Amino acid sequence: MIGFDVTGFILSWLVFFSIYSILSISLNLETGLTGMANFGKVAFYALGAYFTGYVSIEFFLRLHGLDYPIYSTDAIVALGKLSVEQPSLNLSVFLLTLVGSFLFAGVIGFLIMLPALRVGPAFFGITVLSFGEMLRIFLRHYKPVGATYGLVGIPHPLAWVGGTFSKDLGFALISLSLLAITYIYAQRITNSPLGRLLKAIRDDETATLYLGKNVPLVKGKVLFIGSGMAGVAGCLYAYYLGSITPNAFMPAVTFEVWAMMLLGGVGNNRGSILGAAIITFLDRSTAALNFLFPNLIIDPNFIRWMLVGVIIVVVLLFKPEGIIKEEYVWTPAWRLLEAKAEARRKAFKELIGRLIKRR
Amino acid sequence: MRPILEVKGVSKSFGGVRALDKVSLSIEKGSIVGLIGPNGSGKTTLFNVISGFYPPDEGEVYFEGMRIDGMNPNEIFRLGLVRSFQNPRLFQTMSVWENVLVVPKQRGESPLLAPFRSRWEAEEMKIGKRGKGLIGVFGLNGSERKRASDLSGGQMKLLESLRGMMEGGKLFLLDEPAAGVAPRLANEIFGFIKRLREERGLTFFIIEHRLEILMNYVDYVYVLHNGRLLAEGGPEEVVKERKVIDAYIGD
Amino acid sequence: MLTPVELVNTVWIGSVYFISAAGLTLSYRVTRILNFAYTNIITLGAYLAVILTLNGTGNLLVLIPIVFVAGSLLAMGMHYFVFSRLISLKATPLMLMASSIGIWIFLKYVYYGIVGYLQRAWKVGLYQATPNLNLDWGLKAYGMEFSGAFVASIALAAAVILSLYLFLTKTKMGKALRAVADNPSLAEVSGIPSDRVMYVTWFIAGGLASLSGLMWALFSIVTPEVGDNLILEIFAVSVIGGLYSIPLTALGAYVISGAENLLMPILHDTIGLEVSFRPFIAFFTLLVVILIKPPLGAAGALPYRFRLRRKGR
Repeated sequence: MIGFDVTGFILSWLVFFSIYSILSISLNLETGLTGMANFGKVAFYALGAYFTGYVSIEFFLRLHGLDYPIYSTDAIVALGKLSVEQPSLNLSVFLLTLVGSFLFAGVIGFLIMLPALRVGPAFFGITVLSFGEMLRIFLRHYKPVGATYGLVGIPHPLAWVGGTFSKDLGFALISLSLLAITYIYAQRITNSPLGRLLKAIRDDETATLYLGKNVPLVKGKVLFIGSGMAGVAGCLYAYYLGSITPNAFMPAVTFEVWAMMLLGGVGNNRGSILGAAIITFLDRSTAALNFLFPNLIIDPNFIRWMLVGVIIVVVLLFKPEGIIKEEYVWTPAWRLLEAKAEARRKAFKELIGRLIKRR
Repeated sequence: MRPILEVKGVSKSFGGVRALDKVSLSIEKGSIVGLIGPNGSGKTTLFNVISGFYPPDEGEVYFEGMRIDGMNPNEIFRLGLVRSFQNPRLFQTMSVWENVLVVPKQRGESPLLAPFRSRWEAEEMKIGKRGKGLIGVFGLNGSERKRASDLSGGQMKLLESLRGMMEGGKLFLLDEPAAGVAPRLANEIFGFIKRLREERGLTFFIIEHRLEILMNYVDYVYVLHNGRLLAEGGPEEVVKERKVIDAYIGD
Repeated sequence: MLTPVELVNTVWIGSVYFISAAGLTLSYRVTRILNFAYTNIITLGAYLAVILTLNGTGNLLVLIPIVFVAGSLLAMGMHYFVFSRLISLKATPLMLMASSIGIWIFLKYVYYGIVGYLQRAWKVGLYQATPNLNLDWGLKAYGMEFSGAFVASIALAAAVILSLYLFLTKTKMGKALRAVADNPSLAEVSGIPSDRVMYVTWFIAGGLASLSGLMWALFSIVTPEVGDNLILEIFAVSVIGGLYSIPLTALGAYVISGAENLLMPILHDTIGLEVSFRPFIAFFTLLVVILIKPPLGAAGALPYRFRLRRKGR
């Protein structure tokens, strides 16, 4: 048996954990809070990844005056050389594609809103599901982005760092900090008047409309943000693997994210992260299983996807609220209900203020 | 003075069935008006058309002199026309308190401002104070923390009306505000409606099946039958009219 | 250039779409569940045709009832083990849909696992297979020769539709089914046993899906994803039928099939569109139909249409 690289395992798990957490937080925003059945999450993930791959490769090649076709061997060799030369270029291209993939995926997500204006959750689901499949078929046959071969040689933002360990550690830290930003943003939104509005739309769309809310517009905004987040996850994925193929974006990926959201708890950002942690861990473990026992009767990949299906069904049947239960939207107005506590808090504040003044 | 609500010759068909046929009516500001009729006579359809759920096939609807047919329900609400549903449509997974707070439009609903609490906290507190006051008026004190789905049927009806009052409602379309409620409680609800009219000058347009209760509280009644306006007048006159009795018995 | 082959394929695949979409429409109308795992039943029918005919030549007449019942059992099993329980837990339509997706992805990879195992155990190629049926005969008419498989498929489709029609209009159960489809709450009040209606619906819908899989197996190659590859077309066809009308569903089936088999070669010859972009036809049809005339009340959706422009004024 070959030695098993524990550090490598943990670092790669951390990256995948971050990517999938971002995805499941974004799905939770759209589905868990707003009640839109996004069965096409993978499409926006793919859009982010392809935007990143295409733009960064084009940038590197064209900036250096090379006009190799994008998937040629020459291009890949050249990219390998160029990516270790100028750290500042790597990082600025990284930032550019990060923002770009957010906007790109977000805008397309917003436009997919058009049919969603007209149909209810079920058909919204079908539409985006098929949009994802169409996108994959398109990418598989569209030569300028490498068709079936995909994009290869995407320049890693930290390629200039010597040593695999520090490079991987650095990337894991970048991913984790992006996850932190996403989480804080989502958490703050959830506990704000906006979060309350989203839950109202989920509970009863018609009633929300009758309370003067422009429901389609709010949904569109949420789709913009959610798809943009998925785009960021795609960006990280493209840089981490360095190559992307259309077949990495099967519909099953969407449902893996669904399983994470359902397992962790719907309408709950902490739950989404917990679900992502558990399922990515299982995922990486089946990958490790594949490596340790190459001659299993059933392909471990099949087991992985079967598990996703089983988790979805079992959670829905036996623990529909997930591991962490949804809570009420906590806004400052809740303090009004505790008049006594509020009065005490005020008195305390005044006391402190007086003490400070006296000094 | 112009009536607060005017419906002029409104028709609406669904797949060949004429649910509303050239219905015209008007409602004075500060009045309580009843809408009665047998099942399937088009009462709820009329409410749906007025409140913007469907556009009418023909005809016009004016609210405070402004033409509102063809507008979306959310825009009509903003003008001050509030409707309730036959089965209360509360936000079931949310607390009573959130159900109240969610109504007014506020800055914290923008995705850009929502993460920064300091930008919307003051507005939120103001809304909270108004909500707290209304909760007192509606006698829902102490159940703010309950899930809306845990309320009793009567409380749900109250909460729904309360929600409508959170943001300057002027005309209330109430679809059976006392359905499935014991007669004593139904009288209480109608008494409450009457009080609101007197204290705040609000206008009510009410669908109700139980004529014996409704007739004690309304100023004016419209009778719908098969999508047509059959009769109108004060409550005493209407119940005496021959065709109204026929329509109810024939039902 | 257009050849009779393309016309034959239009009718052939159109019938596959029609049978499966009819089942989907029926099950959605009665149960209000949009079942994504419906595709698994199609795959089951197709694979049963392959596996049961491996040893020697199979008899289509024996195969049909087996395939039908197997599909029915799978569909009823889904209802028994998942949907009925979720309904009694008061799950939202969204969660029912999510659960059907869970079943879908689970069964899909179970199929992969089983097919892979059987392929190794029996040492035959199963990932891409065709059934071994005794349909070598042909039928000559209008100066063309039709293959036995085609004739058998069309006859099967016609028989299925005829019996479905008779069942829905002439039998008591069929009438109850239609009553539930038109107005579930009213049907409940009038004493129609809704649970039994559900099972009968899944029995029929599952059978139809499975038979359409068999028909596909007569036409082309069977893979563990054969149902998934058809899903988009089937949904598009159902949506054209407004998830309501069976005659409109039939129209939709042949229109989509015609667009794929007749229009696609023309587009390929004239503007050089790649044949692999075939699924886009169904997708765009779906989008256009949804945009122009969305099915009313689609799975818990609202009948309201948000208007972007104000009328009048």
